[in-house]
Amino acid sequence: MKSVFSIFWQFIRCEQRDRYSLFWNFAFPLIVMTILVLVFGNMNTAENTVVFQVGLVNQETELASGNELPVPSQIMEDLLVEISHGERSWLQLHQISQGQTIESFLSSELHQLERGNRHAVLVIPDALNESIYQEVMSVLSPQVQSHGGGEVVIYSQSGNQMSAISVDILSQIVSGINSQINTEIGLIDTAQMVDLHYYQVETDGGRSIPFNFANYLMPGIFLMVFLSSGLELVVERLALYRERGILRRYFAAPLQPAQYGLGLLMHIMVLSILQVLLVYGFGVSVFGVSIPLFTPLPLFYLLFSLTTLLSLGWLIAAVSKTANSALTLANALLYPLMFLGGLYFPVMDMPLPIQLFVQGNPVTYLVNGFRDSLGVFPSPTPALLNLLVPSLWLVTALALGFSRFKWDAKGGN
Amino acid sequence: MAIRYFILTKTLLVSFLRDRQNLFLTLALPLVFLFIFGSLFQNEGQQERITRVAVFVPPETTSDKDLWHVLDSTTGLRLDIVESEATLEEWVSGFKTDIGLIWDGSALRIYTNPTRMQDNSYFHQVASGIRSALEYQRTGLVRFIQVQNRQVGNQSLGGLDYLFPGIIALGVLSSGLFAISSSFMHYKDKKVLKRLMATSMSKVTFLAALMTTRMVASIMSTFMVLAAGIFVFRLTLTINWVLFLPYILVGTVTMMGLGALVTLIAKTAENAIQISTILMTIMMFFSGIYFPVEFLPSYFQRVSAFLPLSHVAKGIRYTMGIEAMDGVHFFLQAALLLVASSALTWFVTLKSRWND
Repeated sequence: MKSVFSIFWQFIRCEQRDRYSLFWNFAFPLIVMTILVLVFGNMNTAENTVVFQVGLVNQETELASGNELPVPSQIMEDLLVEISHGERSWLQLHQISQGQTIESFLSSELHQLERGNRHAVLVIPDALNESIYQEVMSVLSPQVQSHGGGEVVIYSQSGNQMSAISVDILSQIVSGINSQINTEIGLIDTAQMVDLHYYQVETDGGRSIPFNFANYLMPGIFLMVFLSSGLELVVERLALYRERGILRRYFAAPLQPAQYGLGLLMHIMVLSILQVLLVYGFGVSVFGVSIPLFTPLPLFYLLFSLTTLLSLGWLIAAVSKTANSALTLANALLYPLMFLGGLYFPVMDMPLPIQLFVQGNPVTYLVNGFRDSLGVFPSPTPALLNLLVPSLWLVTALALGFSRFKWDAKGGN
Repeated sequence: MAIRYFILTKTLLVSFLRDRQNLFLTLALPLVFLFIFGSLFQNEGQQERITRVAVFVPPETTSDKDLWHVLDSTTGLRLDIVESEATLEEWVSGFKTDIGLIWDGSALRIYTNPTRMQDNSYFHQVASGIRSALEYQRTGLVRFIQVQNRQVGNQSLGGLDYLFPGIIALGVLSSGLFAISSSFMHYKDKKVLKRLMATSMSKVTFLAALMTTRMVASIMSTFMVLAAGIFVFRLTLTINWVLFLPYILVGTVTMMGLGALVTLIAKTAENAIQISTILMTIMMFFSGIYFPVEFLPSYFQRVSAFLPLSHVAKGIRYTMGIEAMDGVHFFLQAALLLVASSALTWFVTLKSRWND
């Protein structure tokens, strides 16, 4: 046991002295978590958190109708100005400045849109009010001919997600003004209007816990650090140390391979506990994460994930002949396992060839089961598979690892 | 001198092709990312995108004729009828459907899966369209103001088209950054440079050969990503080759400049690789390659403006007809990146001691 502790302490000391390892193991997961929460956490609520840059080109010259009717172009402009002046508004409105002609302003706004400096440009054409009044008259009095009403133009940038959201919001504003006109002239029965409510599916079997991206991401970050330990640390400490002859020198010490393995395992366990506590503490204090981590089922999934992912590293070290091949194989698997395991975003609706990888990836089931056990999101895969698939990987990796791993680079067992 | 340059270039190229790790980082990693993110963003922006809608109409609802009329006449929807609200939620959370829709005769309740961050804004647009059509159908509402949508830029572009130049930039980043930070430091650590200095080989010849090797690597990586994009993801690209190819080389030199900066901090090749990997990972997230930087808070958006990868990706998008930019701005930016990075690479590598 003393030898096991010696190895353990040696790894701890190495870790402590190596600034880059410290960065990778402790600072990097926090950076990844911060970036992903800031980016993906904002996507569902883009309208509330992102500032849309919208150009408003009002070409309408007729500002008074001469009758009792409201002026639609002015209502639209006033409404947008009011929104943009609101505290922490989601809208930054760009309007014509003094001395600028309408044509040059429109051309400059479209230019800005093409270059990605605007998300949308709303053009209120000249004679819009007149067209709307005519249409109102045609509806109210069958003798007046209909011309189809007025039309505003929304320019957007093709393929730009933010631009598409801006168009949606502006269209909803126009739709609201349409409904307002219809209601004011008594055309429609407001009872027949359709209310639209958006909901997100509940995350915890009817207990109505609102979805929180930081909660959702946290298990993914835990598995990311375990994957890194399994595919980088284990591979490096086994394959690279074997090739450099470090293991051979250890075993001449004398030290048994099992003692070295246990020391390494103990080091990774302690490292993992520290990483989990750090990430959890950071998540709770910075992003208000609230998950029942220290309860039996999530703790089981933590341990199950760690052992499964470490066994993958063991398997890679066992099947690779050289350290270079082992590290390349580990690198080649790390990103697909991570990104196609659904650690950061869902992957259950990937197209078929990629879906096969997703379905065979143990990380998919581990993270689904883990999230389900924490109540942050129901598992899209059956609970049985969440245990069965990683178990199969674990048993296979351990069996192959034990039968094929050679402690000596020259082939002796 | 020319012969020495060619011999050394050939040797370095062979050495690069034999180093599996380097080869993976430069050639395979961008492909891995293309397959991962390409599959994820494949549907975005597609005109013919099909949205799966699970519909639940409670039995007590009497007026559902209008709803079915609207749903049947809306293109791009695949409908499924479910028997309860619980099943509908289960389908949404289990990815069996994209949208869950409940109609009680007066209100539409739309359920989406909150984990599908990149899709939900599109699903909300679909739901908003269904509501408009249903309201029109039920009330006879007159659209006094119509909305005409016009798009600027290439109409056929989707999310994948925006992602694609970023993946190419990633290959360029990897190839350029690791050329100096990894290869140069590696040769220095292994005393290869010291031995070369004992020969008649000049520092300039070695540096020129190393840069040439990495430019070849960048071009190889670019063509592999292009081939995967065209043959696997069926992308139709309009590349301005006259600008594109030279710009790939400019991008490679730019990243070499960054690599030169890394060597100022790193003591060994191993340190340099670690710092470069950290830099690469951070730049991947902050350079607007995988998602718009607008989703980040403004202070992070400012960080993005200082990252060379943001500018190189933008430049590549310009040469591929995906993003508009002033021609003068493009050339000025490329010239600045080229001059600054060349000078930096030149200064750091040639002025540093090769025989430590």
